Amino acid sequence: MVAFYSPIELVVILILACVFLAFVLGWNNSSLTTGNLSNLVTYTVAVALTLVGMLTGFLLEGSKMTHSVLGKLVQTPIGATEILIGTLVSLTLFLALTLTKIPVSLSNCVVGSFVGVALASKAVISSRSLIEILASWLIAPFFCLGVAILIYEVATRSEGSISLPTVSWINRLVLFAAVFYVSYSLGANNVGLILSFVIRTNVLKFSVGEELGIELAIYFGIASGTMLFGKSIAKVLGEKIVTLSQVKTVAAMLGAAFVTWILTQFSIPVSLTQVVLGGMLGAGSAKGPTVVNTRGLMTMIWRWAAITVLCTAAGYGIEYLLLKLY
Amino acid sequence: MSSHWFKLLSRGEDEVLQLVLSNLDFSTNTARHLTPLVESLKKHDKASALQEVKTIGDMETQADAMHIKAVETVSGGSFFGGIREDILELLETIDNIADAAKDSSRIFSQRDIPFETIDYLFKRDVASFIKTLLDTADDLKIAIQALAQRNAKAKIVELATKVERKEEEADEIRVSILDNLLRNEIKADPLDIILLKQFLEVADDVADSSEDASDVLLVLVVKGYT
Repeated sequence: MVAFYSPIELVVILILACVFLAFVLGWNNSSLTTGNLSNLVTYTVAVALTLVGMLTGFLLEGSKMTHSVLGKLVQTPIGATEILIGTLVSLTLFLALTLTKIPVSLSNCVVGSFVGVALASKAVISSRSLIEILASWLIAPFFCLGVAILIYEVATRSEGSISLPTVSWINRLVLFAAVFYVSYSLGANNVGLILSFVIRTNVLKFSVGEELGIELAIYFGIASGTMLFGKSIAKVLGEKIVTLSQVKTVAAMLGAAFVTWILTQFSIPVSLTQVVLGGMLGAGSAKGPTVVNTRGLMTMIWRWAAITVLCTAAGYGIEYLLLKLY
Repeated sequence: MSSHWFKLLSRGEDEVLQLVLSNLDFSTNTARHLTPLVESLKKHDKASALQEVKTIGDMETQADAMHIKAVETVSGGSFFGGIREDILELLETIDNIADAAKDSSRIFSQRDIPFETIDYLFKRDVASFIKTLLDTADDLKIAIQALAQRNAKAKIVELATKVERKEEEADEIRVSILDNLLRNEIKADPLDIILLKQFLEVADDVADSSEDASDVLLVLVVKGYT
């Protein structure tokens, strides 16, 4: 591909791919936030809060993810072509699954694709980092489950001393904060991860102004996806897997935001969908009868694993073919 | 944060609650006119009875307007998220109290029932029946007021149960009055007997609606708290 395109053209294509990837991320994931506020405020206000949260997280902590996959996991610097292949494979599968309205993780797609590309191009993959990521994927939902139960227990113990109007007001306020925090964490972790594909491309050296322009372009992508399509995935999670009260939703969202934020501090790409699911299960099982669609849950877990393997295979296959052909 | 601050910040929710209570007050006050109506009928004062029927009808119209306004306020605001539909349901059942008062009283303006038949109805304690209906609505008010109190969960459940018991009490009195009425020992016009039976049954909806509202309160407690 390098033979077909100049470095500048390659970077432009990569930026476009990243903007589109961010667009699909907004489409796929941010409904977790807007959907939860739909009962409280207008969709426009919910979207605005989500976008402000994402922008803040992206600007303040997005840089923590710029060496997460390219640098920490894939230790050998790989070429712009390889980065583009990894990005396009992630984008294609992420888009295809979003179109089928299946909750899918950007992190699963990205890590799978780049591991595949790195394996085919004989780049060094840090087994420690890989184990760290895989372990975090397994542990994070359970960690979130625990955090959600803890938050729920605190809420249960506190509410006895206050009236229903006050409980309702606190729920409203905390849900706003939780939605902002979730958006913030999503911006820091996932959008920061997307930014890394362009920043880590070593064919061009970007000035501060150019880097800011790229950041804004990627943010424009996620903002557009959020504004245009942010409604269906929240229903899949919230209504089909677990049915939750408002307090339980708050506990799940706060737990998910906290876990995502913690993992961002360690530059670990994390799936917000997966941790939110853990939080929902935790909050759902905290008290009283639990209504969990076990079959739906198992299908979702199975799909997540399969998608990661599929991305690895696709990344490996395409990179292998390109290396063979050119 | 002190409870004063909590109160200040949850003012929107408090206002919605006040709206619910003022709707209930108006609906109950509409139903309260059933007492002078029954007393006028007992005294064979047809004019006063018809005046009460008119008053109840006018008040019900006002109650409807208040209900619509309350529904608009609740629907348009962001308060009581997650339980807003239940608040609307509560308002609807409260409005049914005024509807029941109007529909039951109207029977006396629709047909000129002979006083002999009305007296036969009053052989049993109709006044006590009406009082129990109103007591049910008053108990409902106490239960709704408890929503604004601390540690109210158990109290609301207890008060809602009290409303239900009162409604059963009203049912028992109604059945007793009805048993006597349907014996029709005075050989009254069956249509008059049917209408008086309908009066008792429709008036009983005052208590039934209060009980329905107390059921909504239980839902609010379950869904509103954790």
